[in-house]
Amino acid sequence: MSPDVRKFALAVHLTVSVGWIGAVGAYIVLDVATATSQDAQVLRAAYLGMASIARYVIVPLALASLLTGLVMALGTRWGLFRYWWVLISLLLTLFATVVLLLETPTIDALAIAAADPAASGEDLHALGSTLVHSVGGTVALLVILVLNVYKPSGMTSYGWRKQEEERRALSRRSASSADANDR
Amino acid sequence: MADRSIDPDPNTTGDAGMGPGRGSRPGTPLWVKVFGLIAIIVVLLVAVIVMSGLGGPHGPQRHALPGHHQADLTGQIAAG
Repeated sequence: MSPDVRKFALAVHLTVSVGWIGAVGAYIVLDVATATSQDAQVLRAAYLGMASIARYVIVPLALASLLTGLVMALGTRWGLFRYWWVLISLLLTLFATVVLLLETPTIDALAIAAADPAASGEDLHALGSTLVHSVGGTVALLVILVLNVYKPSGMTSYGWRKQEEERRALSRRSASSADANDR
Repeated sequence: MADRSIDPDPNTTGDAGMGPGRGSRPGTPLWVKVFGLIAIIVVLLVAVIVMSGLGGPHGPQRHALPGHHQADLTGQIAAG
């Protein structure tokens, strides 16, 4: 990737990734309301809001973050499997995205149940919250954020092999160009 | 996933201090070992909680309307 393209891709990746964390924050506020409130109107609004945020904000941002992360990794020398922090970030992002996609139909179903005008506050409170998943997801996203900011050192065996291959190839190229200059 | 504001160039930067020296295969860093250990503990803890039933049912059936509003969320999910 050229420097300009790389910078643009990084800007997009940062926007969607940090946006993902922000959207989960908004979701958790509503999730806490479902765990604590007994008021039917509050619960109904919270479940409907959670479903909209999850389906139309969090899922698209999660998929965009995964995609732009892959582009950034494959389009630069960081690679996907060369450095531990990149590899662990990838695994955590994949895990968070899969859990999110599995949880989204349940969140939709909660909204459908909450939309029933006959359901009382007590009934809706009994539906329960999704706090375990949303807080767990937030922890995973914050770990990814820390890894991406600090980029802790450590190369995988695969990364080391690739680096050695590249060094050998560079040495060969340098040697052959020096020979050509001598002649 | 990844903020790659720095594009490492092993050919010119000597890996910028992020890897081992030439010719020495890298060991697993301590922070990766600690991270792996924590991950294993969390997975085992979740498995124990789910399998023992301490945390209640796991999955859509956890969120069912009680009493006269019995709604099968699994059915709702299947119906879309």
